[in-house]
Amino acid sequence: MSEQLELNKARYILRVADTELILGHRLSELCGHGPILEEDIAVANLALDCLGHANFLLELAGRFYSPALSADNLAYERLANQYFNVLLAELPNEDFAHLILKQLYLSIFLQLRYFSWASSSWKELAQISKKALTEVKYHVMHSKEWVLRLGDGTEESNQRMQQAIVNFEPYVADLFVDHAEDCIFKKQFNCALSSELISDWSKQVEDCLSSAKLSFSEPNSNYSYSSITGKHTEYLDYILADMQFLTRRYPGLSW
Amino acid sequence: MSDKKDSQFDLWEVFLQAKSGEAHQHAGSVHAADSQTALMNARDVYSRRGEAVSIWVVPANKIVASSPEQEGPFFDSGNDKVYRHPQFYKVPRGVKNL
Repeated sequence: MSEQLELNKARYILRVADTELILGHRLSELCGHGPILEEDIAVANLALDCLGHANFLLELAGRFYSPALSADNLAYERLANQYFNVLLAELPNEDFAHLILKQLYLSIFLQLRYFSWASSSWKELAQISKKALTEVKYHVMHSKEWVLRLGDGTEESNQRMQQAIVNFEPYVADLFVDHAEDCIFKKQFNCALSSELISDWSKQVEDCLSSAKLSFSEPNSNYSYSSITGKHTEYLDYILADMQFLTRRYPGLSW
Repeated sequence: MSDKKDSQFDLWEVFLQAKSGEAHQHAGSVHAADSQTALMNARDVYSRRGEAVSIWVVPANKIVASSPEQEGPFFDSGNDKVYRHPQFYKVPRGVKNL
Protein backbone atom coordinates (compact mmCIF):
# COMPACT_ATOMS: atom_id res chain seq x y z
CA MET A 1 0.00 0.00 0.00
CA SER A 2 2.73 2.42 0.94
CA GLU A 3 4.58 1.40 -2.19
CA GLN A 4 1.56 2.47 -4.20
CA LEU A 5 1.47 5.78 -2.37
CA GLU A 6 5.10 6.31 -3.25
CA LEU A 7 4.39 5.58 -6.89
CA ASN A 8 1.44 7.94 -6.76
CA LYS A 9 3.76 10.63 -5.49
CA ALA A 10 6.06 9.93 -8.40
CA ARG A 11 3.26 10.11 -10.95
CA TYR A 12 1.96 13.32 -9.44
CA ILE A 13 5.29 15.04 -9.86
CA LEU A 14 6.02 13.42 -13.21
CA ARG A 15 3.01 15.07 -14.77
CA VAL A 16 4.73 18.41 -14.42
CA ALA A 17 8.30 17.12 -14.71
CA ASP A 18 7.59 15.37 -18.01
CA THR A 19 5.72 18.39 -19.33
CA GLU A 20 8.74 20.61 -18.60
CA LEU A 21 11.08 18.05 -20.16
CA ILE A 22 9.13 17.65 -23.39
CA LEU A 23 8.40 21.37 -23.60
CA GLY A 24 12.10 22.10 -23.10
CA HIS A 25 12.94 19.71 -25.87
CA ARG A 26 10.48 21.29 -28.29
CA LEU A 27 11.88 24.74 -27.47
CA SER A 28 15.42 23.54 -28.06
CA GLU A 29 14.41 22.56 -31.58
CA LEU A 30 14.31 26.25 -32.46
CA CYS A 31 18.00 26.66 -31.68
CA GLY A 32 19.67 27.95 -34.83
CA HIS A 33 16.32 28.54 -36.53
CA GLY A 34 14.92 31.50 -34.61
CA PRO A 35 13.25 34.38 -36.44
CA ILE A 36 15.88 36.80 -35.13
CA LEU A 37 19.15 36.20 -33.31
CA GLU A 38 17.92 37.60 -30.02
CA GLU A 39 14.86 35.38 -30.02
CA ASP A 40 16.98 32.34 -30.86
CA ILE A 41 18.99 33.02 -27.71
CA ALA A 42 15.87 33.84 -25.68
CA VAL A 43 14.15 30.57 -26.61
CA ALA A 44 17.32 28.61 -25.85
CA ASN A 45 17.25 30.26 -22.41
CA LEU A 46 13.62 29.25 -21.96
CA ALA A 47 14.51 25.68 -22.92
CA LEU A 48 17.32 25.57 -20.38
CA ASP A 49 15.02 26.89 -17.67
CA CYS A 50 12.46 24.18 -18.49
CA LEU A 51 15.11 21.47 -18.44
CA GLY A 52 16.35 22.78 -15.10
CA HIS A 53 12.90 22.51 -13.57
CA ALA A 54 12.48 19.06 -15.10
CA ASN A 55 15.79 17.96 -13.62
CA PHE A 56 14.87 18.93 -10.07
CA LEU A 57 11.42 17.39 -10.32
CA LEU A 58 12.69 14.18 -11.92
CA GLU A 59 15.29 13.80 -9.18
CA LEU A 60 12.51 14.17 -6.62
CA ALA A 61 10.21 11.73 -8.39
CA GLY A 62 12.99 9.17 -8.78
CA ARG A 63 13.28 8.75 -5.03
CA PHE A 64 9.84 7.18 -4.85
CA TYR A 65 10.86 4.17 -6.89
CA SER A 66 12.62 1.24 -5.33
CA PRO A 67 15.37 1.02 -6.21
CA ALA A 68 15.60 4.79 -6.55
CA LEU A 69 15.97 6.20 -10.04
CA SER A 70 17.96 9.24 -11.12
CA ALA A 71 16.71 12.05 -13.33
CA ASP A 72 18.73 10.55 -16.17
CA ASN A 73 17.13 7.13 -15.70
CA LEU A 74 13.69 8.67 -15.87
CA ALA A 75 14.39 10.96 -18.78
CA TYR A 76 16.30 8.57 -21.00
CA GLU A 77 15.05 5.11 -20.18
CA ARG A 78 11.30 5.44 -20.25
CA LEU A 79 9.26 4.85 -23.36
CA ALA A 80 6.39 7.00 -24.54
CA ASN A 81 3.71 5.03 -22.74
CA GLN A 82 5.51 5.61 -19.45
CA TYR A 83 5.54 9.39 -19.79
CA PHE A 84 2.94 11.53 -18.00
CA ASN A 85 3.26 14.92 -19.67
CA VAL A 86 0.29 16.90 -20.93
CA LEU A 87 -0.36 16.33 -24.62
CA LEU A 88 0.00 20.00 -25.55
CA ALA A 89 3.73 19.89 -24.85
CA GLU A 90 4.30 17.30 -27.58
CA LEU A 91 2.74 19.25 -30.42
CA PRO A 92 5.23 20.30 -33.06
CA ASN A 93 6.51 23.82 -33.67
CA GLU A 94 4.59 24.36 -36.89
CA ASP A 95 5.64 27.97 -36.92
CA PHE A 96 6.71 30.60 -34.43
CA ALA A 97 3.11 31.44 -33.61
CA HIS A 98 2.53 27.86 -32.46
CA LEU A 99 5.71 27.87 -30.40
CA ILE A 100 4.95 31.11 -28.62
CA LEU A 101 1.27 30.35 -28.05
CA LYS A 102 2.20 27.00 -26.53
CA GLN A 103 4.67 28.86 -24.35
CA LEU A 104 1.93 31.25 -23.25
CA TYR A 105 -0.51 28.49 -22.40
CA LEU A 106 1.98 26.29 -20.60
CA SER A 107 3.92 28.96 -18.74
CA ILE A 108 0.75 30.48 -17.28
CA PHE A 109 -0.38 26.97 -16.33
CA LEU A 110 2.98 26.13 -14.75
CA GLN A 111 3.06 29.43 -12.91
CA LEU A 112 -0.29 28.65 -11.29
CA ARG A 113 0.79 25.08 -10.57
CA TYR A 114 4.12 26.11 -8.96
CA PHE A 115 2.41 28.88 -7.04
CA SER A 116 0.11 26.36 -5.45
CA TRP A 117 2.96 23.97 -4.71
CA ALA A 118 5.11 26.72 -3.23
CA SER A 119 2.74 27.01 -0.29
CA SER A 120 2.09 23.29 0.15
CA SER A 121 3.24 21.37 3.19
CA TRP A 122 5.52 19.16 1.10
CA LYS A 123 8.79 20.91 1.88
CA GLU A 124 10.98 19.75 -0.99
CA LEU A 125 8.31 20.35 -3.58
CA ALA A 126 7.70 23.83 -2.15
CA GLN A 127 11.40 24.63 -2.35
CA ILE A 128 11.72 23.53 -5.97
CA SER A 129 8.56 25.42 -6.88
CA LYS A 130 9.73 28.69 -5.32
CA LYS A 131 12.88 28.58 -7.42
CA ALA A 132 10.96 27.71 -10.55
CA LEU A 133 8.48 30.53 -10.01
CA THR A 134 10.97 33.34 -10.61
CA GLU A 135 11.96 31.85 -13.94
CA VAL A 136 8.44 30.97 -15.02
CA LYS A 137 7.36 34.54 -14.29
CA TYR A 138 9.76 35.69 -16.98
CA HIS A 139 8.46 33.02 -19.38
CA VAL A 140 4.94 34.37 -18.92
CA MET A 141 6.08 37.94 -19.52
CA HIS A 142 8.10 36.98 -22.57
CA SER A 143 5.32 35.01 -24.24
CA LYS A 144 2.68 37.64 -23.42
CA GLU A 145 4.74 40.37 -25.08
CA TRP A 146 5.22 38.29 -28.22
CA VAL A 147 1.59 37.19 -28.46
CA LEU A 148 0.55 40.83 -28.14
CA ARG A 149 2.85 41.89 -30.95
CA LEU A 150 1.99 39.00 -33.24
CA GLY A 151 -1.75 39.17 -32.68
CA ASP A 152 -1.88 42.94 -33.04
CA GLY A 153 0.69 42.91 -35.82
CA THR A 154 0.24 42.26 -39.50
CA GLU A 155 -2.63 40.40 -41.10
CA GLU A 156 -0.38 37.38 -41.58
CA SER A 157 0.86 37.28 -38.01
CA ASN A 158 -2.69 37.61 -36.68
CA GLN A 159 -3.83 34.82 -38.98
CA ARG A 160 -1.04 32.50 -37.87
CA MET A 161 -1.75 33.17 -34.20
CA GLN A 162 -5.44 32.52 -34.76
CA GLN A 163 -4.60 29.24 -36.49
CA ALA A 164 -2.44 28.19 -33.56
CA ILE A 165 -5.31 28.91 -31.17
CA VAL A 166 -7.60 26.73 -33.26
CA ASN A 167 -5.04 23.91 -33.54
CA PHE A 168 -4.38 23.84 -29.80
CA GLU A 169 -8.00 23.99 -28.70
CA PRO A 170 -8.56 20.23 -28.39
CA TYR A 171 -5.54 19.95 -26.10
CA VAL A 172 -6.24 22.66 -23.56
CA ALA A 173 -8.78 20.92 -21.34
CA ASP A 174 -6.16 18.19 -20.74
CA LEU A 175 -4.18 20.58 -18.53
CA PHE A 176 -7.01 20.79 -16.02
CA VAL A 177 -8.13 17.18 -15.73
CA ASP A 178 -7.85 15.81 -12.20
CA HIS A 179 -6.03 12.51 -12.02
CA ALA A 180 -6.37 10.21 -9.03
CA GLU A 181 -3.18 11.55 -7.48
CA ASP A 182 -4.47 15.13 -7.59
CA CYS A 183 -7.17 14.29 -5.09
CA ILE A 184 -4.79 12.40 -2.80
CA PHE A 185 -2.34 15.27 -2.59
CA LYS A 186 -4.96 17.94 -2.35
CA LYS A 187 -5.92 16.43 0.95
CA GLN A 188 -2.50 15.43 2.18
CA PHE A 189 -0.34 18.38 1.19
CA ASN A 190 -2.83 21.11 0.41
CA CYS A 191 -1.92 21.34 -3.28
CA ALA A 192 -4.56 22.82 -5.58
CA LEU A 193 -6.35 20.41 -7.90
CA SER A 194 -5.59 20.83 -11.59
CA SER A 195 -9.24 21.66 -12.15
CA GLU A 196 -8.96 24.50 -9.66
CA LEU A 197 -6.41 26.26 -11.82
CA ILE A 198 -8.64 26.73 -14.81
CA SER A 199 -10.42 29.94 -13.90
CA ASP A 200 -7.23 31.90 -13.22
CA TRP A 201 -5.67 30.42 -16.31
CA SER A 202 -8.58 31.27 -18.57
CA LYS A 203 -8.77 34.80 -17.26
CA GLN A 204 -5.10 35.51 -17.89
CA VAL A 205 -5.09 33.88 -21.32
CA GLU A 206 -8.31 35.61 -22.36
CA ASP A 207 -6.97 39.01 -21.25
CA CYS A 208 -3.80 38.53 -23.22
CA LEU A 209 -5.46 37.20 -26.35
CA SER A 210 -8.15 39.86 -26.49
CA SER A 211 -5.54 42.63 -26.08
CA ALA A 212 -3.80 40.95 -28.99
CA LYS A 213 -6.97 41.13 -31.10
CA LEU A 214 -7.32 37.33 -31.06
CA SER A 215 -10.43 35.36 -30.30
CA PHE A 216 -10.41 32.60 -27.70
CA SER A 217 -13.04 30.22 -26.45
CA GLU A 218 -13.05 28.32 -23.16
CA PRO A 219 -11.75 24.76 -23.47
CA ASN A 220 -14.53 22.25 -23.84
CA SER A 221 -13.60 18.94 -22.29
CA ASN A 222 -16.13 17.08 -24.39
CA TYR A 223 -14.09 17.59 -27.51
CA SER A 224 -10.58 17.20 -26.25
CA TYR A 225 -7.81 14.70 -26.09
CA SER A 226 -6.59 13.82 -22.65
CA SER A 227 -3.42 12.35 -21.27
CA ILE A 228 -5.43 10.63 -18.56
CA THR A 229 -5.94 7.72 -20.93
CA GLY A 230 -2.18 7.18 -20.79
CA LYS A 231 -2.00 7.48 -24.55
CA HIS A 232 0.07 10.13 -26.22
CA THR A 233 0.04 11.79 -29.61
CA GLU A 234 2.09 10.21 -32.34
CA TYR A 235 4.72 12.92 -31.84
CA LEU A 236 6.06 11.70 -28.51
CA ASP A 237 7.76 8.64 -29.94
CA TYR A 238 9.64 10.78 -32.43
CA ILE A 239 10.63 13.24 -29.73
CA LEU A 240 11.97 10.46 -27.53
CA ALA A 241 13.77 8.78 -30.43
CA ASP A 242 15.61 12.06 -30.88
CA MET A 243 16.14 12.80 -27.22
CA GLN A 244 17.10 9.30 -26.15
CA PHE A 245 19.20 8.42 -29.15
CA LEU A 246 22.54 8.31 -27.37
CA THR A 247 21.38 6.28 -24.39
CA ARG A 248 19.57 3.84 -26.63
CA ARG A 249 22.53 3.41 -28.93
CA TYR A 250 25.09 3.19 -26.11
CA PRO A 251 23.37 1.82 -23.01
CA GLY A 252 25.08 2.65 -19.75
CA LEU A 253 27.27 5.36 -21.28
CA SER A 254 28.80 8.07 -19.18
CA TRP A 255 30.71 11.26 -19.99
CA MET B 1 9.70 49.05 -48.45
CA SER B 2 12.93 50.40 -47.02
CA ASP B 3 16.15 49.67 -48.85
CA LYS B 4 18.18 49.54 -45.64
CA LYS B 5 21.06 47.13 -45.89
CA ASP B 6 20.31 45.91 -42.39
CA SER B 7 17.12 43.86 -42.56
CA GLN B 8 16.83 43.56 -38.79
CA PHE B 9 14.88 45.68 -36.34
CA ASP B 10 16.23 48.96 -34.94
CA LEU B 11 19.54 48.92 -33.14
CA TRP B 12 19.69 49.55 -29.39
CA GLU B 13 22.80 49.95 -27.25
CA VAL B 14 22.85 48.03 -23.96
CA PHE B 15 24.35 49.21 -20.67
CA LEU B 16 24.61 46.95 -17.63
CA GLN B 17 24.99 47.83 -13.98
CA ALA B 18 26.88 45.02 -12.27
CA LYS B 19 26.16 46.08 -8.70
CA SER B 20 23.78 48.58 -7.23
CA GLY B 21 25.36 52.02 -7.06
CA GLU B 22 27.97 51.35 -9.74
CA ALA B 23 27.98 53.03 -13.14
CA HIS B 24 26.28 51.32 -16.05
CA GLN B 25 28.85 49.95 -18.51
CA HIS B 26 28.32 49.44 -22.23
CA ALA B 27 27.91 45.73 -22.92
CA GLY B 28 26.94 45.57 -26.58
CA SER B 29 23.88 45.99 -28.72
CA VAL B 30 20.63 44.25 -29.63
CA HIS B 31 18.07 44.62 -32.38
CA ALA B 32 14.45 45.16 -31.37
CA ALA B 33 11.28 46.75 -32.65
CA ASP B 34 10.39 48.54 -29.40
CA SER B 35 11.76 49.40 -25.96
CA GLN B 36 10.08 46.56 -24.03
CA THR B 37 11.40 43.91 -26.41
CA ALA B 38 14.82 45.61 -26.41
CA LEU B 39 14.95 45.27 -22.64
CA MET B 40 13.96 41.59 -22.77
CA ASN B 41 16.43 40.83 -25.53
CA ALA B 42 19.20 42.58 -23.63
CA ARG B 43 18.37 40.54 -20.56
CA ASP B 44 18.44 37.30 -22.56
CA VAL B 45 21.63 38.07 -24.45
CA TYR B 46 23.75 39.92 -21.89
CA SER B 47 22.71 38.91 -18.42
CA ARG B 48 22.68 35.14 -18.71
CA ARG B 49 24.99 34.58 -15.79
CA GLY B 50 24.06 37.26 -13.32
CA GLU B 51 26.15 40.02 -14.86
CA ALA B 52 23.60 42.72 -14.13
CA VAL B 53 21.20 44.07 -11.54
CA SER B 54 20.03 46.81 -13.84
CA ILE B 55 19.86 47.22 -17.62
CA TRP B 56 19.56 50.36 -19.71
CA VAL B 57 18.73 50.23 -23.41
CA VAL B 58 19.03 53.27 -25.63
CA PRO B 59 18.14 53.54 -29.32
CA ALA B 60 21.47 53.75 -31.07
CA ASN B 61 20.37 56.71 -33.17
CA LYS B 62 19.59 58.74 -30.01
CA ILE B 63 23.18 58.56 -28.85
CA VAL B 64 25.08 61.77 -29.63
CA ALA B 65 28.78 61.04 -29.97
CA SER B 66 31.80 63.24 -30.51
CA SER B 67 33.27 62.90 -33.99
CA PRO B 68 36.92 62.04 -34.68
CA GLU B 69 37.63 65.50 -36.13
CA GLN B 70 36.68 66.99 -32.79
CA GLU B 71 39.30 64.91 -31.03
CA GLY B 72 41.87 67.66 -31.07
CA PRO B 73 39.88 70.56 -29.66
CA PHE B 74 37.86 68.33 -27.31
CA PHE B 75 40.47 66.09 -25.84
CA ASP B 76 43.80 67.88 -26.04
CA SER B 77 45.72 66.56 -23.08
CA GLY B 78 46.59 69.13 -20.43
CA ASN B 79 49.52 67.19 -19.05
CA ASP B 80 52.04 69.66 -20.39
CA LYS B 81 50.02 72.66 -19.28
CA VAL B 82 51.28 73.19 -15.77
CA TYR B 83 49.09 76.25 -15.27
CA ARG B 84 45.93 74.09 -15.51
CA HIS B 85 46.72 71.91 -12.50
CA PRO B 86 46.38 72.95 -8.83
CA GLN B 87 49.81 71.71 -7.77
CA PHE B 88 51.24 74.80 -6.07
CA TYR B 89 49.41 74.49 -2.74
CA LYS B 90 50.77 72.18 -0.08
CA VAL B 91 48.06 70.54 1.98
CA PRO B 92 48.90 71.00 5.71
CA ARG B 93 49.48 67.84 7.69
CA GLY B 94 46.54 66.68 9.75
CA VAL B 95 43.92 67.91 7.31
CA LYS B 96 41.61 65.00 6.60
CA ASN B 97 39.17 64.43 3.74
CA LEU B 98 40.23 67.40 1.66
